[in-house]
Amino acid sequence: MSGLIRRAVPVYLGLLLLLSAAGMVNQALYRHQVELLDARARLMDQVANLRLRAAAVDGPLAVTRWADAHGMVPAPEASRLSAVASGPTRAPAPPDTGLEIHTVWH
Amino acid sequence: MALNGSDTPTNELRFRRRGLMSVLLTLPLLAALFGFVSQQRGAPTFPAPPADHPVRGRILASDGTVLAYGPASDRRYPEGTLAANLLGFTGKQQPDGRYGLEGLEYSLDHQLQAGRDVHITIDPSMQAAAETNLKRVAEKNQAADGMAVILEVGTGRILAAASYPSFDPNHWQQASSKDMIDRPFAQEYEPGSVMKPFVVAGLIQNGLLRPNETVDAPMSVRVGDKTFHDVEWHPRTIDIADVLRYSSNVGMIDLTWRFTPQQLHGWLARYGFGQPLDLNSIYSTSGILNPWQNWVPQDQASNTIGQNVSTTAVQLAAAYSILAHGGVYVPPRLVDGETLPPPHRVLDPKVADTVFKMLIHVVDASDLKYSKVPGVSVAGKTGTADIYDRRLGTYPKGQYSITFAGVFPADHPRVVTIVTLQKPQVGSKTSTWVAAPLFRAIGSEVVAHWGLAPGSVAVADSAH
Repeated sequence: MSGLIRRAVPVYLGLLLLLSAAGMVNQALYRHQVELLDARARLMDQVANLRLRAAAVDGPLAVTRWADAHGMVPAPEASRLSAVASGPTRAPAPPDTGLEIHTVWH
Repeated sequence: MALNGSDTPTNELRFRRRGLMSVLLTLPLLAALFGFVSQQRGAPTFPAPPADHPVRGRILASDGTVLAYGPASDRRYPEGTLAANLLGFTGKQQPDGRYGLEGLEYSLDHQLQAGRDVHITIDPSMQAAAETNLKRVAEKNQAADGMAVILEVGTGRILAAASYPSFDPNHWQQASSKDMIDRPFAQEYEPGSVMKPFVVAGLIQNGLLRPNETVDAPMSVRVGDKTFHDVEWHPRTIDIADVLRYSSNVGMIDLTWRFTPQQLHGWLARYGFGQPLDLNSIYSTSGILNPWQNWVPQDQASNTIGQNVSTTAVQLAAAYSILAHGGVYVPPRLVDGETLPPPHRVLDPKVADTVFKMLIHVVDASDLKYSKVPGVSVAGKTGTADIYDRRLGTYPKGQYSITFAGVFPADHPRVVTIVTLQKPQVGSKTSTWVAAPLFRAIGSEVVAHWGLAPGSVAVADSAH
């Protein structure tokens, strides 16, 4: 009996240490998983906000409002207009990027 | 001595065994303690249990635009206010197990909770056109509320269902309950003269009226204790098409006596008035069609001109689609795949066609140039009705419900459009000057969306 216990105790202790080690690894993995879930939640929140911002630019409502605010009319109403622009339109100023384009003809 | 001599090793053995047992019992305890402490030290909180984050199906528009997605506890509406009153919103789980609190989120909660996507028939571009123009006109005329519906002829698909006022379902807590009403389905109102074509169609169908008859229509008539007036001046003798063109209350009341109360009631019910809609995908009211047994003559006269009877905008659109679709009623549809009863015939095709041509005459011959969508032919009818005040128990002066019901293109009907504003406070309070232009604004955007070429060439004058 004592011989059996003497042999079993190191095995038991070894298993306990293994269990502790597995527990620690498990805890680390768990923490990592929670961090990933948090990151996922943050990213989903970010995507949702970006979608809202995108819809504010190219969503059907935004496009309709933008067109209306810029004096556009639906195509069927175009024939009502006698003047589309009150004067010659100005070309928009090019952005000041500091870059120059040179074209060389050969 | 022998006993004493044998006691010593036994005690030692017992002592060793106890020590060993103590170690064996203590070590797991220490290990558990170690694990517990390591978990508590800086350990993050457990993620919320899955029950708080159930998978919830998305709501998608007819072109695949995502209108709602995400779990019930963190539901998102990426298009903001678009179709908000229709979509509704979610909140905490209710005693009945639902997360949806309003709109489709409420009525289709079971399906959405099962993780199944819902595809609705709404066209985002048409919905945006309806909402934007409805809001603009309602604010300009300081209307209390309003609604607009676009329904596809022949299929019953609801392409747009706009409500004013509206709200942002992403921030529904900041909205009032008045902003959240899904008016095209849930608000019943007395529609006024837009009901007249249905009475004419019923009379012709029953052989009680010939389309080319003329009617003696003075400018007013007394029925019981009530006097009915015509608003627009017209010749004393007018034909049926002109009864509709001038929207003559007196002419219609003269015709309605050819019906028994039961017959008129039966026709209005056949068009769907006072009857629940067949669709179950969203909450809707059935309107009120009082029992004919309780009618007095004034009631029959009032029902004929669209008073004393109430409807929703969707019911009205479905009824007009009967006239536009050869006399066949097609149940309105909001959700793809929903099982609905098959279409059924209400009017003979010739009768429907005859009355539909009268509606084209109404737009072409009358002062309704503001309802004409450029480039397409339009059939339509105005309706201006008094609004009953439950608190006062009467119809106060100056409070009107103004409606325009129109179909285009009239030569090949594709959509029925209903627009209604309630209680406009400034500017004109008639359908002709407020609802008809709103109809045209929405109609023009729909035609542009279809990509139909304008009727005439635009002139670009750059003022050189």
